[in-house]
Amino acid sequence: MSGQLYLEGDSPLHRLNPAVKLGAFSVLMIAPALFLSPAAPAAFIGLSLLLGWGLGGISPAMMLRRLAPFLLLATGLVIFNTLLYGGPRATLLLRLGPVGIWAEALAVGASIGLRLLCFASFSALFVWTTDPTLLVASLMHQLRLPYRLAYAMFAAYRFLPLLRRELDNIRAAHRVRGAFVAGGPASWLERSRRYGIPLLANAIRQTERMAVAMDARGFSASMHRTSYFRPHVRAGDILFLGVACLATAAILFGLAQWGLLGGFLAGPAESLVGGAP
Amino acid sequence: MPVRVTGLSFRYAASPRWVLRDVDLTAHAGETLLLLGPSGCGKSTLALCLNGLIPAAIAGEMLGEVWVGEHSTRAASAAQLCQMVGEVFQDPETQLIMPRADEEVAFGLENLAVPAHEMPERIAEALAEVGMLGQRRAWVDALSGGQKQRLALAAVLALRPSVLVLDEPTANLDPAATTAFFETLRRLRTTVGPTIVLIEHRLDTALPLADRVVALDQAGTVMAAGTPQAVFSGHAEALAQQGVWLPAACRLARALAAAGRPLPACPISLAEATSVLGPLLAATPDPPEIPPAEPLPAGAENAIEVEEVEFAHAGGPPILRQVNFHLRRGAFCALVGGNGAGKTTLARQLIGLLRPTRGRIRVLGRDVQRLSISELGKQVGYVFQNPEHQFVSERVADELAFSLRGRWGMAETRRRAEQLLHVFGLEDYADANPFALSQGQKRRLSVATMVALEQPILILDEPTFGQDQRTAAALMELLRDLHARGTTILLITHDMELVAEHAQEVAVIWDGWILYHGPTRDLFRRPNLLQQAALGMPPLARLGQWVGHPELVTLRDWIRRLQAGFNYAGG
Repeated sequence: MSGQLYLEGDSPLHRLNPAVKLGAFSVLMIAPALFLSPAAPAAFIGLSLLLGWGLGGISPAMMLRRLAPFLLLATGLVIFNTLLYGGPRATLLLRLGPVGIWAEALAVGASIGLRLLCFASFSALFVWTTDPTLLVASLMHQLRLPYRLAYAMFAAYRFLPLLRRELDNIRAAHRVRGAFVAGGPASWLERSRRYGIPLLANAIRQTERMAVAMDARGFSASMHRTSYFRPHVRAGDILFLGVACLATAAILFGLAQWGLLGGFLAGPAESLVGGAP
Repeated sequence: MPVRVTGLSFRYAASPRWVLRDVDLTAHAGETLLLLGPSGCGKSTLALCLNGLIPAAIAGEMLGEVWVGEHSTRAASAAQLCQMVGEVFQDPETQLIMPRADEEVAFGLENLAVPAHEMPERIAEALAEVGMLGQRRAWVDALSGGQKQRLALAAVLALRPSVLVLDEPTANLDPAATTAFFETLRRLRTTVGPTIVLIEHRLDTALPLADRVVALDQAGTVMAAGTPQAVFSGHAEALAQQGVWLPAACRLARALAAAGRPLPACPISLAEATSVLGPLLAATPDPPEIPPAEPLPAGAENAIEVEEVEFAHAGGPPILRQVNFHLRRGAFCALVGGNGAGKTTLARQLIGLLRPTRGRIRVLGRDVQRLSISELGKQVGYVFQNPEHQFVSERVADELAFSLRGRWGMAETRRRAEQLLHVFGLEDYADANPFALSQGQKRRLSVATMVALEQPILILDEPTFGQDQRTAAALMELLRDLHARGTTILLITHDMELVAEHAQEVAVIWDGWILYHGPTRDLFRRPNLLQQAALGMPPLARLGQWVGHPELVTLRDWIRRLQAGFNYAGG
């Protein structure tokens, strides 16, 4: 599981301090989402592709391929929101029989879809270029995450695939016994009860075993502990964070100058169409 | 360091039952102590007492003392304890925490505040000791079960404990990985030389390492202690009654004695058996007739036909490459192969849980593609590896009624449920919660629910896993009965002894191919094939090879041959 998400490498993005990278990526991801225009997330998606290419060693083509499920989801959101748009409308772009495509509707739809994609592309870029161990180590050292919580994260990371496999097995076993019930909320409850008992029984047993195994190797044996990896914050990390903030401000300012930013958080839809109000 | 346990009793918090009662045992420095006992006898609890987690981390009442060298585990700190005693547990999945191998080894070092600059060397050293230096940066998820167990061992070794406690470390491994693990242990004994307490029921693999043996009984008291020779020759009867597995040579000697042909000396290890039996076989000429092979069922009708089947999960690598496999009605066939070879994947195609990517499967002449899982379920019973996964109710009797419902009326359902409870020895537990049963009872209940509809075919996925000798034997007895009454049985396992003693035929699967399908006896004459498939030779077959009689594979073969030899020589 873990090995599939993280793409091993030694690019500048890989070498960034994970906690600092988390901060910088959060800025890049959240800032464009605060504005209603589709232009801001679109610009930042472009930035993420450039970032992945230039500093992460991941070509835009590869990024888009790996983001395909999100592209699909985003397209769905655009279509859905465009068709269901109920706000004021003025500019008809296209009429397909009974359905009209309005510029305002399209702008809102595109803005929602692109925001999702912007989130997805920065999150994915983060996950692909961040070693999970270094991330947790960095959260411990730079963000003062308590070590017990940090190791709980590791344990959960290894535990989730087990739980998943367990659930698959129980589901299969119950199907073989003819114990499946058709859809519907009542049967969903019944199903969760039936799967829940063995799943919980095993999960408790397994977490207990894991806790015992951790204690047996001296987990929390002493107040003082050392670290195999100790991620440091270097000048390059601070520089990256600074440049990311500056770039964010510059792009947003530029878009505002061109009248492409739209309202803060949720401005009137008209402001998106035809430049400044 | 030596380990000394004096007057140890323990019960878990909120439980009135003493799991261990007044246990005394000693393991001298550098010695390997083999700890035996039926399931539920407190072996694992004793292991937790040895590493000091009892009483430090696990709630309960402990009487007596555990001494590791000069230290009482009651008085030692957690940090001291894990540098004195390291433990490897049974399940590879629930004792590894970190994403990568070297980080896993580092975990204990970090806990003990070993300076970071010393870590790489200690990690490399520990990984080298278990032969995994090459996997230093490997993702733990990508390791095989055997590698995970050796990694767990390395993670413990890095703390440089002088005592190693190993609690059934190879129970989840296939024969090849088991051999590799024991090979690692053997090497460790000469290089590091720790005191080892080994809990293991695969005696023939473990015995060559053991200096002494301690056996616990079901009440949690020591029933026998001493050298392997003393324990197994002096207490074999009592051990067998308690449900403890015995070494193959010991079982052979007992069976011969029961047949009125006691051996001059009681062999314990296979090596000893070779020196006792070799001359005996040489002295008695081969009986004029070779023992006939068990006749295979004659009916030409196939219960299962798998033709050119390929399978891969969506976007995944192929798991079944091109499987052709026919099973006649009334067969008792074992499906064997290393972990990940495709055994379970193939079996799940037969009940419609997975559908082949290509190829065709027929069950009793009908194409499974056209049958729903519930229709197939009336023809094929499928017993899952973990019995708990199959339970759908809160009452044992309801489990059976659930299987029977829809086929018979109320009265008949009740009658049949009672009958099944009786046959499977569960009549006293009709009102019990299935999850509260013992391992053996859970297993029997899971089989009972799967034969309730009198399905003509029964598939079992590792049914003896985690069972002690007595419950495993009881289960195999039930399967033999079902088979005698005409049920076609397909048994997935990697226990080659089980295969040798019970299966008439074997299918060997390896890397998504059927490498072999034929009579059981012939398989054990192909050591290369066994090795390729990550399998091994059962102990008595190995013995047969050593004394130049590869045709002797099962206990029955040996007794027949030796008796015939005696008779021939005598008359």
